[in-house]
Amino acid sequence: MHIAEGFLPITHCAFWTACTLPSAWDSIRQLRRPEVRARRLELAAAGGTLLLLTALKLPSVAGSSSHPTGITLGTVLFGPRVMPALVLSVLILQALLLAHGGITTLGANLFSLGICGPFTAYLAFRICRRFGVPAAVSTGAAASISSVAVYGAAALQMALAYPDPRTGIAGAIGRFLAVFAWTQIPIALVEGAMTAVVYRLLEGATFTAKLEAAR
Amino acid sequence: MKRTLLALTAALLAALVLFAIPRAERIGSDDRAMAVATEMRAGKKIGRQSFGLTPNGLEERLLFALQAGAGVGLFCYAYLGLRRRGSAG
Repeated sequence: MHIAEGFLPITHCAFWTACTLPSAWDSIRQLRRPEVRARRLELAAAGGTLLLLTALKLPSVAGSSSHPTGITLGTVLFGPRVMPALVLSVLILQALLLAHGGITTLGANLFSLGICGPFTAYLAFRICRRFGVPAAVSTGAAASISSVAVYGAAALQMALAYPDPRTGIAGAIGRFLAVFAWTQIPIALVEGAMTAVVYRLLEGATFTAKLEAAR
Repeated sequence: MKRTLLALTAALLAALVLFAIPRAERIGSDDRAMAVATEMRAGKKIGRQSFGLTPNGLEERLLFALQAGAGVGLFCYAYLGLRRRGSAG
């Protein structure tokens, strides 16, 4: 999910923006590296997956929605440092044109979707690979875990802004997580399967045994 | 094929922009967390009483469909390019 425009106090907006600026800057620099530019097609595949999956808003109860994150493919192909710039471009597009997310909440959304998610995905992928799990399965597992992590980060951000009057921040986190879990856990599982399939597709397309080896 | 996909992606993005700009204030996303936050923010002043939501409205569906279409187009373009490069390699 993206935190909508106007839902975070301005001090929180400034804080999250300040937290994400170094990563965003570093990510843009990463994109300029020759080895990344030489793999534009893989980058396009990662961007296309991100665009597609973040657009799949699935309806849930009370007329609301939730969606996959789409960050794992790019993370596995290029590493987590490249992802903030890709995510930032999609977030800006959605905030300006689709009113999904917002400009004031751009920093908070970038932190959860562009930083927390990719680094979690990368860690999960590496751990799976260390235990000898096949690359496609590792990618799927990383996608599921990072999808939940993104929503965990968003729950934390929301809870910091809106602590529960009785139970405080911890109570608010629990409440937000409970809200997210209904839709996000099934979505995370589906996203894991979809990402694994997409990874296999790319693996087949390039006729290489392991895309990760090229990184 | 590659050029067709690129053109399709560009057309979808252009349609997204043309369709979205006049309607940007009327459409919006809605997550259940927003509803919870709305409850929790009672008595708190927030930055902006934002946008009139029309969750699952036709425009919103179309816009998100356009974004998804652009994503599919971009992915197919990359996939075909990679396949061609793989064959060549």
